[in-house]
Amino acid sequence: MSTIEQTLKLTRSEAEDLLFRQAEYLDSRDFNAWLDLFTDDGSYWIPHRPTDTDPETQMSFMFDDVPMMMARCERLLDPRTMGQLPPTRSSHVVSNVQVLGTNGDGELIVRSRFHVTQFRRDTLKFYAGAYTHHLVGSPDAVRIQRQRVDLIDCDGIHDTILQVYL
Amino acid sequence: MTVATSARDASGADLDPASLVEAERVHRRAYVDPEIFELEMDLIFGRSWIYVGHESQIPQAGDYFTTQVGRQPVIMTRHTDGQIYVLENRCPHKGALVCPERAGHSRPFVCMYHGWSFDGDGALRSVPARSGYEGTSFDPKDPANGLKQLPRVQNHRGFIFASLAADGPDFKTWAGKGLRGLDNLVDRAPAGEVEVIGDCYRTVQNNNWKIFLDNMSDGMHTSFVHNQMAKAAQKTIARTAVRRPGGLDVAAMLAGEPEQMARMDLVAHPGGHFDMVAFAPPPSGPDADQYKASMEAFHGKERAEAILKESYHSVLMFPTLVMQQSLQQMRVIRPISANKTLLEIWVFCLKGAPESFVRRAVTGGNVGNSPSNVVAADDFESYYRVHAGLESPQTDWVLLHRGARQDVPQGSSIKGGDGNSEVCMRNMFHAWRDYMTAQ
Repeated sequence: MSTIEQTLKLTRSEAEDLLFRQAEYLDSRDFNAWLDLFTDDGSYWIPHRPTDTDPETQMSFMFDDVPMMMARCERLLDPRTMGQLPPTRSSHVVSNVQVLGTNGDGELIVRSRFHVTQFRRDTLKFYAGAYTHHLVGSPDAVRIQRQRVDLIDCDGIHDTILQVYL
Repeated sequence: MTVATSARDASGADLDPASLVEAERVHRRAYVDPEIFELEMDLIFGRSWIYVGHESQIPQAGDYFTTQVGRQPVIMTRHTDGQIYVLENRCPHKGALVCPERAGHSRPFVCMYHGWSFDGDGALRSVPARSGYEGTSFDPKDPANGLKQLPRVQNHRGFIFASLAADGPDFKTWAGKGLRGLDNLVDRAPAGEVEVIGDCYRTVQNNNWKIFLDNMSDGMHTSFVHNQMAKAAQKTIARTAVRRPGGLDVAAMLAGEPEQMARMDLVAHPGGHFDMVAFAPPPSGPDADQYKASMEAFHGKERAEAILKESYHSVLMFPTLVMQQSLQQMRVIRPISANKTLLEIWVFCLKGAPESFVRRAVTGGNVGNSPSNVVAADDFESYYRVHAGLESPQTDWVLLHRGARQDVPQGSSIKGGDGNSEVCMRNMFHAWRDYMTAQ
């Protein structure tokens, strides 16, 4: 069927290339390049509880559509933003990448694990969990339709406001 | 000045909280001194009415929610009689926390250590193998030997408050005019009640709790602290269509000139409470019209209009409850130490309001109060810097002079000369001094 022919297929190595590139954009504070990885109606969601299913009606740790991502990146890049004086540095390790297959909407689902360390004003902070990427497009122009970020401590107490994407 | 010197030099033994608050100045030790913090736990959090939780968190018999009232871990329960109880989360036997989880369902409550069990009202239900207590002063068959109820509990329109003190002003006396902000939140529900949306966020600020409360009536900081985020929101709105109302459109309003905030009504009430009127415009469009119609159907046209006209951006019921009615949000402070403050942040839906109001409140919560929010991310930086600055020993006083000669009495309340007045901070510290020096 033609719809299946148009469905995105990636090897694990190709999927890793995308995830590593996305992580590198954040760690080098190239937020505009990071933003360009998403489709125009893409979204980035960190659930507040492990069992959450609907960010429209449930509270989220973070739930950004593209306009919100644009504003957040704009804030991060403004050199006078109070919460970024000094700025946050981050370092990603992305691993355990699995290409799980295609869902009913034709999105390729890639699952992986991350460990992100952030540093700001003498304090190191660790974030760990799983990414679920819903990808669309063609192998040479992959875009992120949805990214779900499941933090292992999403419902815990947080003494730092997360400013830079994980 | 002798007062300042004694406050600076005092050892814990002769600490005099009264000397830390003047008419227009507050001594830095009121914010950063661990001994003052311990006194606050006894004299304010041990005596005042402390917000515990909302009844919609525990709809079924057996449901519970755990939190802190001052230093005391508590369980808010729904008993089989339908009533809500606030119990000490402490087994009478060896003292273990009986409910380790933040929320759940349990009938009965069973202590994990030796299996003692308790009903939802705290009554001792059973002690396994009752033998061995014969002739002792403990009766394992007496229900009164269970989890202790807090001395006073008040359910005000679904909002549960408790006091660790058996005596003291009753709830209505304590709340006084400060209640009008809370009532307005409930009145805004076309079905006459509100409900929490999901679970609360819990964030910790590395600053004294009063630095946060000061900021709640500080209109002026928005122009400085939130300027970059507001500009980022404005720029985004100019470039693309905003699809989720209640987020970027509200953030975009935070970058007004100080004169914008000066126009806001700011009223301080006895007991340290205050309210500040809303500056974000109310929702518009077909859903807002439908909402208004259902408000009028429930309350009558005149009353509905009065409720909707009375809209608050920020309300404090001293010492624990900060509400943002116009955003349907509530922040509850649970001080941990002089320099650490836990916030429980709830978002409410107005029962009977259109579905889009829930989405709007959820978006507002995500953008403004979540652990990844873009508003408090900048506030946290100022709280940190204020606390760090006040730790420095060389200079004593925090200055709260702004507007002190422009106060306008309103019955027993005081209206600030304008929205940038520091009237609510002065008022809060005068209440603080009253608590800290009461016999």
